Amino acid sequence: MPKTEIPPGTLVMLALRVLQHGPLHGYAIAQRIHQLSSEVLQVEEGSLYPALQRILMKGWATAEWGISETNRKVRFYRLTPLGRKQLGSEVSDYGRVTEAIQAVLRTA
Amino acid sequence: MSISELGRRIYYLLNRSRLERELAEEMAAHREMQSAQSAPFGNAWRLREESRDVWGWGWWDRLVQDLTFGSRLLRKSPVFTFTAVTILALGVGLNIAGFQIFNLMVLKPLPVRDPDTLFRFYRKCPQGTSTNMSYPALDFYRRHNTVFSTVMGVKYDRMAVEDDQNVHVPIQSVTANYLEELGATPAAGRLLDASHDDAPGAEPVVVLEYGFWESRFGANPGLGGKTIRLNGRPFTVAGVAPRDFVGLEAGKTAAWIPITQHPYAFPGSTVLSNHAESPMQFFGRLKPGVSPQEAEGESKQLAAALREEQPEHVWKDEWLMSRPAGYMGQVDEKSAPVLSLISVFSLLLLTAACASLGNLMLARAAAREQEISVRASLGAGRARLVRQLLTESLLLGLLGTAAGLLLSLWAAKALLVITDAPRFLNPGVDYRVLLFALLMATLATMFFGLTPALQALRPQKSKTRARNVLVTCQVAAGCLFLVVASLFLRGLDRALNLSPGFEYQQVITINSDLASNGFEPAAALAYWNQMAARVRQMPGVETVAMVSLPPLGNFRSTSRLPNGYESVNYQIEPDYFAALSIPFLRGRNLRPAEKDVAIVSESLAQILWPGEDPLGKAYNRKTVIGVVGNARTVTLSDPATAEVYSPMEPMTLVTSVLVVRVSGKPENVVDSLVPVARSIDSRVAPAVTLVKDSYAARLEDPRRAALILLALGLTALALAAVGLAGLVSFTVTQRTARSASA
Repeated sequence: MPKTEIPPGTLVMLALRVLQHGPLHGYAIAQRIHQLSSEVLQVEEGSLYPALQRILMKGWATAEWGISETNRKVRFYRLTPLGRKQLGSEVSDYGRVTEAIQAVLRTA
Repeated sequence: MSISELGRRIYYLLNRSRLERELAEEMAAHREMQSAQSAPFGNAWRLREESRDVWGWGWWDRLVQDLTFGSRLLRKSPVFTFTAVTILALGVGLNIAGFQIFNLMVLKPLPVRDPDTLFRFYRKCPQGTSTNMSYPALDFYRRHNTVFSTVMGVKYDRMAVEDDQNVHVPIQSVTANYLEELGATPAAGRLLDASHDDAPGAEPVVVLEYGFWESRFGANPGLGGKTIRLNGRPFTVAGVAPRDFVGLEAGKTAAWIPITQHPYAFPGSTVLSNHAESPMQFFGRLKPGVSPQEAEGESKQLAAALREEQPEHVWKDEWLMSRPAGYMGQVDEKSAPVLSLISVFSLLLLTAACASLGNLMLARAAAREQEISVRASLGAGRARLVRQLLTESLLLGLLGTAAGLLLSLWAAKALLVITDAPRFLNPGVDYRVLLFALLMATLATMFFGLTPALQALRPQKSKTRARNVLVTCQVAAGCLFLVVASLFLRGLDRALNLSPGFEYQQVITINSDLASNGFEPAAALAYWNQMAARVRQMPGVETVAMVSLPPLGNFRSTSRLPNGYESVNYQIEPDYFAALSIPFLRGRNLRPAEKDVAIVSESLAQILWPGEDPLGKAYNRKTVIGVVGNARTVTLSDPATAEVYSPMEPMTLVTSVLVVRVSGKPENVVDSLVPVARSIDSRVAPAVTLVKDSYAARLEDPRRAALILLALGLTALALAAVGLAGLVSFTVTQRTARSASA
């Protein structure tokens, strides 16, 4: 299966979504998105870390150092209440927009 | 951006090195884990940089990087840096110096209390303007107005101080509220007191100007309460005005006396009651909430009321026109063209400086071509390279402006000293000057930095255009400077070397200012006859004659002639031509008591009757009986003026002076003349002056202007030379590279 780039602007939303069930480190976030998308979406390092820095900067998540399952020192990202709110609004926005696009594609 | 986000950003800026390390570590871990499945792709450094950019400090990083690199480059080539900074300092510095002066003169108020409510008032009517008014009129306005909180008047006088008979110093006779009202606090003793110093019968007092107190009385602190003599009459020294106090209009003065003491200093003076004379400058402070227009409006009614009392001395439809008085100078219709000319010139100089520097930068850019292409091939973007080069220019621009700011302080100070400006004008750095300096720095950087930066990225050929533009600018500016400087020098040369048409080395004038003492024409005639008789008997005196306009004095009486010429109208005694050695060309001299005849100068005859015989022609209802050589005793070398001489009239005697031609050293004669002149009438203190001293003083201003212009011209020349050197070195570098590759 060919690797597919994630549509621009949605990576932040996806990252926030996978963090909803508990803190994850950067690589795990990428893996999780990859798996959950049935290996369609590929998260590159080059886009993931800018997105994560943006999330930190906006205060949607906090980061702290921990030990990974492979015994490596890694940074875990934890969603903040502000991040939860942001996720909610982004998901509903995204839903509206996709529906609208679908509607156009169906009828045009 | 929310406040908490801003806080986080600043936190990231402050903890950058730790956070950067953490990010690197985190991303390394990511790669490790990923490499178990597939080989990682991409430049780790670049990826990290992109993540870091999210913190929002990328521009700062790059700026610091550029500045570090730029300053390293500048340090590495000290000669270039020194040259560039010097060029900029000159170009920017002179502009800032000009602004400093403008700031001091126009933007900053005079050192007086509440300068914005101060106004000077001029008499105005549909037919004309008068800058001054009579004291009784001033008093009338003071008593009857509803718009002024204060009315002040100033009269400019000259008086003899102590025994200095031949040097009369400027002294202002003022309404007693003047010093207090302007917020002066005494440096010693007290100032004039409005409550009693102008009361009738008050003791005559004088307040000394600080500089005069220093120079004439050695800053003697015990002078208060002592008496000094003005025009030979004792005045009690009340005190000394503060060091920086100049009053309004910043006119030079040595002291202030109450105007009510004027008849005491000038016995016979009728200034306080005479409506016919207009010696007073009228200043007023408007009541809060009153606009200058309202004051002007009220003045119409007051002037009309005064006209009922004094129909001869108040014009029909007279009113008072207001002008702000709290500033040293102001930009009006008259000064605007001069100011814009000066601005254009200093901007031209800056352009020359920038063009010169631009050439140097081009030369450097040629040498740096290698470096730039290496950077470009290593992935530096175009914008990034331009930014790098511009930052280097900005660094130079700031250094140059800082040096220029220092230079401007020095230059402005020098200019003020050369022009003998009042002491309170002290150039300094305030927010206006700083803003102007920053503006100059930005402008200069754009001009000298942007073109070379853009050109450096272009292929070889198009560089010639930038160079051409820069060279053209430089040559144009240089030429203009040379042209103006040479025009000016020619004018000065004419003033210095052309004979003024009369001989002034052996001439002394006796100026008695009889008008100030209220002399009537008959009394004046007696006075002068006695004076002339006494002076004639003195050893060394050759010729004595009266003239209405003192040679090189400040009075003039002129009429308009066709084609923009002006005639200067003298009233003389027949011996005047002999006294000043003015050559007689045609016709005959005046005869005693002759009327309705005139003698004209050669140039006047040519202006009015070109190619005709002027003798017998009528001029102003007078018959021309003689022609003399041109003698510009009042206007020196002004080619647009011509002289007309007519017989002395009785009315004029009160303002006329006596010219005395002597043999031998005129200085010696002056010393013996003073007591004689003084002895004619004890009320009058005549000023005895050497015309050659006045002549030297008259040339001071053009000399100063020439000095300043010379400095500007030399600066422009130096700039052009440096720029040319840069250009040559640029061409050499370019050709060397070309010959090497050929």
